[in-house]
Amino acid sequence: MLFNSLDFAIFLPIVFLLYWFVTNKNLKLQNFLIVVASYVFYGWWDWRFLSLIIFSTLVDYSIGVRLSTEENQLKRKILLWTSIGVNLGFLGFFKYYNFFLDNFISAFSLFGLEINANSLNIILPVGISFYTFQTLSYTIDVYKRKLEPTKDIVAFSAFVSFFPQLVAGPIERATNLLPQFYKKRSFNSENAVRGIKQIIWGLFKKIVVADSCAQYANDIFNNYQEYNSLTLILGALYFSFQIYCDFSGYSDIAIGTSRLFGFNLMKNFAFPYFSRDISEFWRRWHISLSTWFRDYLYIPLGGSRGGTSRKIRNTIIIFVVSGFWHGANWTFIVWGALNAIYFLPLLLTHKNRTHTSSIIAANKLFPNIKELLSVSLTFTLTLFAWIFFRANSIYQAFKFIRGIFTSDFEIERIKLERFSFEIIPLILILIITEWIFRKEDFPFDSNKKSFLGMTFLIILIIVFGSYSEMQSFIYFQF
Amino acid sequence: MKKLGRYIVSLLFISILLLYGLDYIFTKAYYDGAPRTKISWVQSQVFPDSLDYVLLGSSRCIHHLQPELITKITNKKGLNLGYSGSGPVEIKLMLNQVIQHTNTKHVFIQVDTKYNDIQPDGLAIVGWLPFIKEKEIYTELIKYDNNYSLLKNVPFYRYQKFDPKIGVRNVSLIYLGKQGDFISRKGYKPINHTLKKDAFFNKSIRDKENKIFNEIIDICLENNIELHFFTSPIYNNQSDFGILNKYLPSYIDFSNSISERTLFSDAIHLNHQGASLFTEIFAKTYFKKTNAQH
Repeated sequence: MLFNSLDFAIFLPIVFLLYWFVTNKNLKLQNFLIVVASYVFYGWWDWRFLSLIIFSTLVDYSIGVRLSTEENQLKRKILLWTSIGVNLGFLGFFKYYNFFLDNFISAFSLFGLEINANSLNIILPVGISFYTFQTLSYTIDVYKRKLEPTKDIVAFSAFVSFFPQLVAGPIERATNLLPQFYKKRSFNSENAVRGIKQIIWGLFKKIVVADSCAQYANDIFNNYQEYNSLTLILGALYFSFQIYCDFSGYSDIAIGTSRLFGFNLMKNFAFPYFSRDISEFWRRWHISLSTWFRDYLYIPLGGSRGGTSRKIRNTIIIFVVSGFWHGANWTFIVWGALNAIYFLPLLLTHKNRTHTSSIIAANKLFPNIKELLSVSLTFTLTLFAWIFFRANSIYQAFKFIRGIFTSDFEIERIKLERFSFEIIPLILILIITEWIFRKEDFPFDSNKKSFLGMTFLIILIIVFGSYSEMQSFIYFQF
Repeated sequence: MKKLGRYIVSLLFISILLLYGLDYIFTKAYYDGAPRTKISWVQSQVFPDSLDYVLLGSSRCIHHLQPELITKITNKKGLNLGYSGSGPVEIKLMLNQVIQHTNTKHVFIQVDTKYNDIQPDGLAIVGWLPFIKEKEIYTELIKYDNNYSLLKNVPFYRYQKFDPKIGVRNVSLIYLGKQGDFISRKGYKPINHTLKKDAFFNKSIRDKENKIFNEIIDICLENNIELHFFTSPIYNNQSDFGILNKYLPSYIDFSNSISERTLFSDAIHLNHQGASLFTEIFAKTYFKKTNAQH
């Protein structure tokens, strides 16, 4: 069920009313309703894959319970690795089986060896990367005794399958989300209104900006041989805003929906395109994944402790694995590696933590020249990396880049489809709004005149939203 | 909870108000603004003089017949009201508009393999949606799909769903006064390039009566309009249109009347030079004969 669909517009009020008016007296019943609603939400795509979520839930719940009583270190380790094996096994099979098989066949064929193995026609279960990482965080935290294992199977099932963030995050930590299922939730109007505002902001980003950009970016990337340099740069620019508004839009709707049910999810995006360097960008982009990898991969590997070579190794690993998490294609691996290359100079010169707490142009209306240049440079670097992320193959990415540097910059040759007419002002509206509200969690959050802002967004959604070719969220495929 | 309820109701109220307001503004543009489609062209004005003829059909009508040249050759005044993708349903709708808004003696309808279509064309029908609240148009469309009820009754939905064709860009251009480029040529739109590679056309027509065409014939009879059917030239035609003689009165097959590759832009469309030649053939075939008869 897509957030931007009529199905969800009917589903959400029904669940909301049942939650606050029918099951509100009984916490267990309320959690049970969340589980049922989440399974309906997920089963709307393909009910068969519900069995994966249920199996994963049962395995991690049982292992958690066993870990609470088991004192033998070896047995605890076996339990932990069983959970990791089951979860990553599913993920590996559904997401990476064909990738590894194809690459093994190609590698062996280089040595003249022919392997007869057929690719499987595997359908990737929606959101598997997200809920797998979420359940893994639970088992690891229980193993490390950072978290008391739950004995409440309903609460745990609700934690694993919580519908607002089930298919595209934020990837919640058990330490943040699970305890919220133990406590009675009382309705808070302020929080719910904030939720509505954040949902509308997310819908604006998704339906108006991302889907409009998608149509133009798709055309340019699919027919890149026909276009000149300027058009190809525009294509990369449009994709940069498509991916940002698509994914952060989803996160905003997920966080906003959770607020309606009395839950607080972690922030997933913090205006990343205003970052002054790549390290700041990665503290503002897909925060729940970046911090997951930091806590469960980078730090266990030794983090930035130790010698230079170890720092470099760990940085490259975390970025490459992060790239690979996005999809079974070399393009994502190169995208990750490219970001590692961007990041390493900052790490090695100890400038990777220059902008950890401040925001750009704090207490000023406009940035200074230095800030403007650093934001522009950071954006250009990420835009360049997005070309690999979007391309269908490494070959296509290089051909696309080659096209940028070898064709002409004549404005007349830009294909003037309908999207070029309205898309630039829409992107400018997004940038200006985010700039004005960059100190807040999301635009119009605490603004006294937010109702006017919401009305303005609704006008934009109605008039400029893409309804003819409704796109599903990009991150579902990951 | 009351605060949230008030907030949601206020937003819903504003949204509904906006939907109705925008629906009104967009629809008014199609009725009263600069005509950008053939439908608006016919809808938005009453043609002062009586017309000798009107041409209906798909792109194989728009790009093939030049009313200005027909006037030059025969002194007959008429309009080319064909538009891309237009099939039997769209032709019937256009015929009704022609009867309402013009006074014409002859109607010429271009037919080919689209003769067998019994449903509206997915793209061509979109141009009719701004006018869907007109009883006659809605009655025709609802016969084919119940979704037309949503498109009629949910305010602004049709402009959102078919935004690329009738949405904000088109309406902005209407309000900027940019009318369709076909108007200056009385509905004809030239194609200027030439067919490069060899091509052929081979699609068959099923031997099955199309009731929509029977309705078209009846409408013309009721309104004393002389109706003619014809098939435009096709490059390297391997199809047999003879079956159309069985179902259509006054049918003439011109599909093999032009064979020179340089006069085509693709297998089924003549270029401007080819259209000039075909227009001459067409004018001489119909109007010289008609003049002689009268």
